[in-house]
Amino acid sequence: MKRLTTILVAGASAAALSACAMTPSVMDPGLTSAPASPMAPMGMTARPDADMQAVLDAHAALGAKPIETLTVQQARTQPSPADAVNRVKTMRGMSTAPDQTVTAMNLTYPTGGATQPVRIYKPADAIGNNLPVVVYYHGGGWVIADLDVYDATPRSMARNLNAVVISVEYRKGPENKFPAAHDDANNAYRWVLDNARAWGGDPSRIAVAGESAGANLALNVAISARDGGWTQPKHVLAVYPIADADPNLPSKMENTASLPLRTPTLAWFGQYALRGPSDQQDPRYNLVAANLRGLHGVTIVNAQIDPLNSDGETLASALTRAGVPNERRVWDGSVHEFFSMADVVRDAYDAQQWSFGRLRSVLTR
Amino acid sequence: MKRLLCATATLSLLATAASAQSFTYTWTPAGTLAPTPPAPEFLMFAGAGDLYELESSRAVLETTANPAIRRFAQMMIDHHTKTTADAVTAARAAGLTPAPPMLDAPKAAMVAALRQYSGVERDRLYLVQQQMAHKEALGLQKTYAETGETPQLRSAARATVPIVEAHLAELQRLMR
Repeated sequence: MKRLTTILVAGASAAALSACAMTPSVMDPGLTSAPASPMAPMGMTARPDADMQAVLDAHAALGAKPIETLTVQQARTQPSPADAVNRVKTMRGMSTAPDQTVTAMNLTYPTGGATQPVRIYKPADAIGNNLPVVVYYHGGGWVIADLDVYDATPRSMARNLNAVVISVEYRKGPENKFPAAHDDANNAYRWVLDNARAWGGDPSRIAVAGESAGANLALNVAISARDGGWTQPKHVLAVYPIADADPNLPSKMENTASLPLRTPTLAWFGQYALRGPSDQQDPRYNLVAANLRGLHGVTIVNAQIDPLNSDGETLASALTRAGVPNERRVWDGSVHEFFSMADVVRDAYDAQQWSFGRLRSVLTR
Repeated sequence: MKRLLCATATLSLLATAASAQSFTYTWTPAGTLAPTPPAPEFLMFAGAGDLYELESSRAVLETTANPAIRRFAQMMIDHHTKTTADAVTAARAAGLTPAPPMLDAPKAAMVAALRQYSGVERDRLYLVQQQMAHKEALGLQKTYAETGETPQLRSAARATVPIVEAHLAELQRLMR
C-alpha cells in the first residue's frame, strides 16, 4: 500500500496542478460524492485495502467463520484463505490451477516414531544439482491447515528463487501438543540437510521460512541448528511470526475483530496447541526472550491489521539487541495471511518480491 | 493569490492522501467512539448507517431464498427507516437541519461487494456485514446516548440502542 499511496499522492497533486493551470478558480475537484470514513472499522487497526477486502468478502461468502467460534474439526475443514483467493480468481476470470512451471513431489520424513508428509517444489526448468534450498513451515496456529492450504507461498518461492523448496507438515494439537511441532520442524530440517542433494539442492546454501506459527518454527530451527552444530540456515524469512507472549502489545489490543486472525483466535490456538499457559513462557514460544545470538539474518514481514504485528516489532528489537542482522517491513491495509495472495493482492506481490529478493541475495552469494 | 490557492489545494490533497489511514475517531475498548461526535457528525454517521442498512437489505431481498433472512432484511428496512425519521425529528426539535443521508466510501463498497454475489453467498456476506455494521451502530448510538451534547438527539439515541441490540441478538441466532 505504501507504494500505491505514493502513486496516488503524485497523481492527485498532478491533477490539482493541471486543474490550477486551466481553471485556477475551481477549488473543489468534486471528489466528495463518497467521503472516506473518519474511523477505522471497530476492532481493527485500519481498513483493509480494496483488493484485500475482496478476499475477505469472498471468505465470508464461502461461509468461513471466525476460528475461535468453531470446534477444531470445523476449523480444519471450513473454507480456507486459499479457497477465498480461488473464489476471487474465478470472479476475475483468472485460472485457479497451481503454477505448473513448478513441479511438486510428495515424500515423507521420519519423526516422532512415525512419518510426516513433505512436498518438494522445484522449477520444472531448473538445471543443475546445486540449487539453493529453503525449508518452509506453514501456518495455522499449530492446530489447523496443511500443505495444501499453504501451497501458494512455497510454490512461488521455488519459482522466484530458482530453488528447491521443501514444505513441511508437522504434528499439531490438540492430538500432539507443544513441543511436538517444534521437534518435527527440527527433524525435517536435518532430514533435508541429509537428502537435499538427491533433489538437486545444495545443502550448504540453505534457508528457512515460515508463516505465522510456521515462522515461529523456522526461527526455532535456526536456534536449534546453532545449538546442535548443524549447518545453520543462512537466513530466516519470518512472515508474521508468533514471537511474543505479551497479551498487552498494541496490535493485540487493537485487532480484536480483524479477520482471518483476531486476538481471541490466538487464545483458541493456545488452548489446543499448548500443554498449558506456562508453555507461553517457554522461549520457543516467547521468542523475544530466547537467546537469539549467532543467527545469520532474519527478514520479518508483517501485516498492519493483524494481532501479531507487534510480535514482529518486538522480535526485530530483540534480534537487534542480540546483534542479528534483520529487516522488517509492515504492509499497511493488509491482514494476516495476505502474504500467500500475490496473484490477487498487490501488497502480497510486493511483500514476496521484497522478501524473496532478500533471500535470493543471501542464497546466491 | 491564485497561485497561492493552488498550492494550498495541492497541499491539502497531499495531506488527505497521506493521512488516509489516520482517523479522527477511534473505538474505545468499551465499544464507544472517542471523542463524542458533535451533533452534525453524529447525524451524518447515523444516517449513513441507516442508509447502508436499507441498501444492503434491499440487495439481499433481491436474491435470497432464505425465509429467515428475508424476514430479517424486511425488519431492517422497517426499523432503520424509522430510526432515520426519529433522528430527523429529534434534530429538527433541536433546531438542526440534518443533511440527507449519504453512504461513506466504505459502506458504498460494502453494498457493491454484496451485489457481486448471489444466492447463499450473498446471504452469508450480508450477515457478516450486518454484524459488523450493527456493532458499530451500537457503539455510535451508545456514545451519543451517554455523552452527546444535544438533549433531543441524546434521547433519540437512547431509544435506538435497544433496537440495535435486538438486531444483534437476532443476527447471532441467524449466524449459528
